[in-house]
Amino acid sequence: MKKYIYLALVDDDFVFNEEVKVYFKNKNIEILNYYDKFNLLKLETPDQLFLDNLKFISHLELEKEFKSQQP
Amino acid sequence: MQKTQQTRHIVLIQEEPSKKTFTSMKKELGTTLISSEELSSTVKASTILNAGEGVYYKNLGIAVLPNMEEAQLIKATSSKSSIMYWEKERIFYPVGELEQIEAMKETLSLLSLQILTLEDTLKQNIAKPWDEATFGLNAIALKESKYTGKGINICILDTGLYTQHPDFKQRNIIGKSFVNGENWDYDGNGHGTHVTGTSAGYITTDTQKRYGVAFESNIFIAKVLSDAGSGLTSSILDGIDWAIEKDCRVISMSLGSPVQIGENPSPIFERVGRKALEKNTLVIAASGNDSRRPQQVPRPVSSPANAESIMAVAALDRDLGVANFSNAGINVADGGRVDISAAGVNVFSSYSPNASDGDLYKRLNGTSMATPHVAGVAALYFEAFPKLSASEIWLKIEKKAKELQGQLLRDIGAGLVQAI
Repeated sequence: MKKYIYLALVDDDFVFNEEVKVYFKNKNIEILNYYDKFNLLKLETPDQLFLDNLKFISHLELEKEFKSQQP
Repeated sequence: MQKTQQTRHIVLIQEEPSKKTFTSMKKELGTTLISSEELSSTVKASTILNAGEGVYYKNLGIAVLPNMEEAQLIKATSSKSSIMYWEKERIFYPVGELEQIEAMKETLSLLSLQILTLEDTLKQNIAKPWDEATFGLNAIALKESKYTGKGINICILDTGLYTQHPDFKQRNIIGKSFVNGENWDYDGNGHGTHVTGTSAGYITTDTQKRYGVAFESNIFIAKVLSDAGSGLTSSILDGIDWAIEKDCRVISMSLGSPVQIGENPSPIFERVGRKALEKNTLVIAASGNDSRRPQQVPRPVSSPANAESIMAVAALDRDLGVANFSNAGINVADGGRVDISAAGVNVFSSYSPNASDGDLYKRLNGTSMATPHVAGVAALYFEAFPKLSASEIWLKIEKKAKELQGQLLRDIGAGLVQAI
């Protein structure tokens, strides 16, 4: 089954607590990491995500590939 | 006044000398000799010796003599006297003290060894002279700089580092891999070892040609690109997070992902670059190599270099013109500019023998090669201006950049980076 990995921005006043964990678990979204320095969440989900349907998140983008910069 | 320790001699006398012999011996030695038979609780040997007289221990056949000239004793032993042997009185210590002295001797010998090792290391670390440098280093006027990046933590996010490289053996290097199943200290690609060499290396061990900028910086290696040369957003975030945790002042990222004309920078990297600046860390990234000049309009600066809070580096060729592959500031509405430039064509640096085309050195092209020049220079600035913030260092670097005639701002930004 295809899985989507997202990086999601949360607000500066975001608190990574039980409420947040339960919220994402109920939406079948797994929190892979929380970068507290950057207020960023790394999420994994079997379905595409849409910002309108999500609490806590102000921006969402799919993980992408970067390459070394030689022509 | 401090009392001088009296020198005494222990003399072995032939067994049971006759009264006559005993008298002649006293005469021979020129001293008074009191027999131990005369000792008592009131007449002590120490009192006699302190008074300058000798004590003869009849039962032992031994005499203790104070203030004797050794020449006199030598003469006495060689003649047909009753003196058989003599030696200086020794000082004996309780066993505990002796053990302490032995332990002190061992510590002293260990310390001496450590001092020698330290001396060797220091001698090896003293910068060797260099006359010849790469085009890239000459272009940034490194020869005029007295700074070396000493004590500055610089992190290279790339394919890792070949740590067995002879040019890096004396360096203080810490690393971590954020790529599953691949070690940071192997570099099966070569790209990471190349960019590390430019930013923080020094000279080739054989020819002494200089190719690295901040050669006294502390190197931190975050492997975020696989040996195939690619990596994911989260690996890069992991690497930046780790570098900030390690108190790195400079993060060098010779990596990118192309963006379309009109595409906005990623808010993710804008957030990360801004937070890094707040933590006093300057993030520097390659502007990308997607352009095909002059046939086509140049492509926009790649991600993550297009984030406003990340310094974007373009590549120059040997004529100090923009390299034909170097991306430009096309999407400038919200970041997306080229900030500065450095040499990025035919750049000589260290390489990894673990790469498929492996060797110890290689010449490569790319904004990847320009980026570590700027990262190394940033380390020099941090050393020169320890009280300035990362944002202030950024401004200083741009201010001192050399303007290049006939080159566009969108292509080379503030100009050619210059060492401090």
